[in-house]
Amino acid sequence: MAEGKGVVFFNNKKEGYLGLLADYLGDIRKVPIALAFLPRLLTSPLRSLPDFIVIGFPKCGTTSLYEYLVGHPSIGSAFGKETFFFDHHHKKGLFWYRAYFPTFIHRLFDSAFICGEATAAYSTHPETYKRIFDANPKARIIVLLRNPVERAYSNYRHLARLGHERSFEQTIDDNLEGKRYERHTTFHDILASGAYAGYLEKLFGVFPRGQVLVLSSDEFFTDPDATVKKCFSFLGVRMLSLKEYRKFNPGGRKKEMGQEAREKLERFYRPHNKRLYELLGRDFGW
Amino acid sequence: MVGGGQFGNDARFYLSGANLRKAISFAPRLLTSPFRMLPDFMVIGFPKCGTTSLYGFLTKHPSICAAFQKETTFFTLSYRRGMLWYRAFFPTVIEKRFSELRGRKFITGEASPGYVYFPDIHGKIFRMNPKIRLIALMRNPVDRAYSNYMHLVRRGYDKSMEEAIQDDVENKQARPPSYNILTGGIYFEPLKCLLEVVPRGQVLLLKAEDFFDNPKKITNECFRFLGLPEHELGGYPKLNKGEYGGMDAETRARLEEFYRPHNAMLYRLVGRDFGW
Repeated sequence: MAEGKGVVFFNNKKEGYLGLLADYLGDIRKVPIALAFLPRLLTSPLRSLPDFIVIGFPKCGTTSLYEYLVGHPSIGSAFGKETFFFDHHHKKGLFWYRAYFPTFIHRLFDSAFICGEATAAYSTHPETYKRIFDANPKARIIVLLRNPVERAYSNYRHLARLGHERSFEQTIDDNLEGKRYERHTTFHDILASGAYAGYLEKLFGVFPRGQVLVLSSDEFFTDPDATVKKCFSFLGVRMLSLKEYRKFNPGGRKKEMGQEAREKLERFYRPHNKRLYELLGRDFGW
Repeated sequence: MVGGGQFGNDARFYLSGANLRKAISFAPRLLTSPFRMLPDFMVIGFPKCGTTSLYGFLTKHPSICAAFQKETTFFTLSYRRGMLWYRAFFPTVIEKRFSELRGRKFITGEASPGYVYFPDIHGKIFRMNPKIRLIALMRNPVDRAYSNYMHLVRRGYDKSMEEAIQDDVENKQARPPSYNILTGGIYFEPLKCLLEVVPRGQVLLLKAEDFFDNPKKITNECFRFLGLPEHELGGYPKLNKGEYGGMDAETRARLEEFYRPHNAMLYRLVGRDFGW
């Protein structure tokens, strides 16, 4: 998840296409991306809205899952895995959003053709669910859930790689106190993002149960083939096995987290996990 | 001709004078059907739980326009006639536009309590209007069963309650689910199917006893759910009311025993103990 870049991008207040063009041109590295996006924007009316969205959670394996899914011949990929449309770019409208997706031509040759995107930040944003439903009430939602303690640590390591200077224990305390950093995003709420029950309750209020697939990251990591097949059957495409399951966006070599911090997190997440098990009728064993 | 109801297939019923008049007044609606709305809300269940009263009260609101008839039974009986037929039951978009120009919301809906029992209908309703709001009233299933039985008796059914239940257990009657005395009171199964297809936030689940005790409060709750301001009606008279005596104590105990596990699952699903 290219969080650092995304943050800089959204803190400036320019709006509309011209503003966005100025943003892109402001950062010389983005010029080739903008140039590649322009023809897509021009053909936007020929493009379709996503049929499925992997909405989260951050650091739960969404990048790998998405890359495996688009390995299927009937699943078209978006222009970049994460579009950040429903949280940050929402004001640009659906015309803009369509530009990310394949044209209808694919659908002429393959009646089962679908496309989708995977923005993990959608899961922790307060308004994305409603916006997705308004854009496409038939969208299918895929959610990956990982042990929240592990997730929090992975989240912290990611922040540290992006230049976050507080220690893991300090970050947890900051979160508990509700302290906000400079350029704070939901990605900095490493504690709250793991309290899945609240988010899922809200999600089920907006989307029908049958349109949401909740997956366990642990199962996904140990047996990616089974999980990917579950997704294929949920999305209604032909069943097949991919040749290889390479790990995408890995965290690198890890230092173990302190025992004290782990216990603190486990204590924090216990009631949330209990609520989650009741909600889903399934025990993840965290 | 228009709806159908229980005797939908009876030719004599079709040709009765009242029905003929109804068909004649339906014809101009059918002609203007492309300019008509689809429902914004539906009271989809359950039969004998007070849906007629609730629909009657709801349509008294200045922002709610009633359908041509309370129960269109479109999805159960005449789905093949297509959406143009269905639109004919509802007000025109012109009325909606005029109302909105005056700054008043304008919504419409129907109340067919039989819909809730058919899982394929839930999907059809959601596909028709993904933002539809659904209201379901649930009454103590034992009372509902008795009320359902008495309804059948008024229509000429001559078996005793015990016999009727036994027939339903053995599935001898082969009635449609909405006229099934026994299984019509199992609310858990249909609601579970419904919530698979329709978002929880778009379904309002109400206890019918609350509605009978305090119709004003529940009607206002429905108005809020439909996104309308509260509105007080002049009176809340009970509609489609049956007059009958009490129920045999033994039958009641037997039915309570039967419904207990289903009720327990329902409470978990709804997240509220109805106390039946």
